[in-house]
Amino acid sequence: MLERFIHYSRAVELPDEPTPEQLAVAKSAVPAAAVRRMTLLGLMVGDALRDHSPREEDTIVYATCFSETRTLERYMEGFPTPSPQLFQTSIHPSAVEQVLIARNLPVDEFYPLAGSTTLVSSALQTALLATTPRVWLIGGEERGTWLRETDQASAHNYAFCLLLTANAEGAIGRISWTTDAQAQAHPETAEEACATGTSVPSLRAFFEDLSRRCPRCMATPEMGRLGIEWFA
Amino acid sequence: MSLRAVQTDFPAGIRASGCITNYGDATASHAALCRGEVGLKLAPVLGVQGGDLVPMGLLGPMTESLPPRWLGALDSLAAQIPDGPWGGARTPVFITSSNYGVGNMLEFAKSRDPQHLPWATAHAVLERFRERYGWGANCHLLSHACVSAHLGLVQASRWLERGMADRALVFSFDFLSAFVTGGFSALKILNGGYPAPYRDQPVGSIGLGDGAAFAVLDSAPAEFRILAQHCGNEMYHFTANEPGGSGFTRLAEPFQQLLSGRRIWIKGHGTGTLEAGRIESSILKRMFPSAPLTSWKGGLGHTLGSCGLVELVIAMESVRQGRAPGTVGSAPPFFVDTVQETAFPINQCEGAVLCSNAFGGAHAALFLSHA
Repeated sequence: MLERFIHYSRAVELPDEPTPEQLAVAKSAVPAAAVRRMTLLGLMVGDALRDHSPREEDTIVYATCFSETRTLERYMEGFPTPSPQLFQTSIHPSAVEQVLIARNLPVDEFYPLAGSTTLVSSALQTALLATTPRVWLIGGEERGTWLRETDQASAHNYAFCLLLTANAEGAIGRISWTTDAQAQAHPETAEEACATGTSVPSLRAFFEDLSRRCPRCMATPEMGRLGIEWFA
Repeated sequence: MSLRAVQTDFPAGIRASGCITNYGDATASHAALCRGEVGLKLAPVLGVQGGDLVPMGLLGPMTESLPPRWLGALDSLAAQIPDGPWGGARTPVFITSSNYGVGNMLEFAKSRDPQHLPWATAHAVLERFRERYGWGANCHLLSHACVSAHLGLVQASRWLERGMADRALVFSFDFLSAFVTGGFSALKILNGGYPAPYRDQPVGSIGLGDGAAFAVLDSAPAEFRILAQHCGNEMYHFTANEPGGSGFTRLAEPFQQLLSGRRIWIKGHGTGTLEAGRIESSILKRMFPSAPLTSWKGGLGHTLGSCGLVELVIAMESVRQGRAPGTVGSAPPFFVDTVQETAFPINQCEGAVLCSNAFGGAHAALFLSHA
């Protein structure tokens, strides 16, 4: 069984149309000079990382299905004369890069993941396979406008981060992964990970789990059992 | 200064591989590059929508058809993948691309034709691949601009190293669309000039190309092995490197330690942009003073997120043929004297360091052992 312990968790959510006051709170987490060019998702990721900064030797795993939706919409609306600034901001891992560039925080290992139905399991597995002492699991989406009408964008604005280490001391929770082969060889370990599982949640449902600190066990034949639990 | 170890030193064997470029398969690509053929042609930057002429290496006219124009090429590539329960519990698939089907997303934005949507996002493309190729649910999508393929290789190696997989498939692709070419043109990186990587000249330019590749990795002894992999992200600027070259240095440093005293050659990123080419070549020259340096993007074009795997497959073909292509499309004066203008012998080398860079100051490199 692979496991890592949660030492920090923060979930950030903004309403469909954030007020200037709500945006000001999110903006306060990143250097003022960078704010003007940041996306809403970038601002929320910055807010999720408000109290901590990744170190150069850390691993960052980033999960987003739709990435910078509003930037993507505006970039495509600009054709046949698209904006260079919107192009560079529209790339998949842009939100995390906006924050780390603004804070001048280089990082060695950065794994931006895409996907939908298995995005959460991919993210947890990537985090559990990381070899650095500290791993950041970051995710989020921004609410789209016209792309949302055809389910090509998120309906919600949210971001989250988890800081994971191998150290159980002082942890607030744990994530674990047990393959079916491991479970057959060591049934007690599987029981410890999670006895019965549900399917892999959407990124939004995972965010809601984190917000409420709800435990979850997910199980599929391909991945085995992935679990997240919270300590009292 | 303390030297750091490579992040992944698990010796992943490459069991099977293949690629598609503007020249054809790996054999055709290697042969054309060795002949110094530039596979790029001037074409309208927005495809059928017109625009300035820019150098591109296309497999066909750049249109957003249904199904996508690139599907046939990917089908032929996928047909070369050895049989296996890909996407099963012990056989994960790592799909990497910078752009996936974003050309169809742009077409949807223009036409509002919903038939483009099943190809328009990364997760939609994954579902199409699973339907066509019979892959299971153990598929992972990575997208980190032009180092995407390297990240797939790192992750595949991790799964093998930690005993979570018996074999792993890395499948990388990027096909040009107006979304991407329009963006690079807007950034003024893509212009009417052909790329001349590492050439010391007043104005730089790049070419873009279609590309796709796959590799099957396992942990058994193999003719080719990836012995070390390393990544880094400067987080200095979205499109510019830290002028002092710290990102390139941090990437090369662990390889310098690992490969000290060994005869190697280097396939650099070398797109044709001036500052990045100057910094990359000067640091590689300083850290590997006797290693010949080459770049193939003057012939292939920059195949974006697939470039790391496309060029790995061509590097393997280079080893089989005993010589590596030179820096196609370029000519002296070069930034450094290790740049190879024409094809060069590699029979005496133990391996190659293969490098890629990306937006955000992302860097990735691997050591391909062919000793």
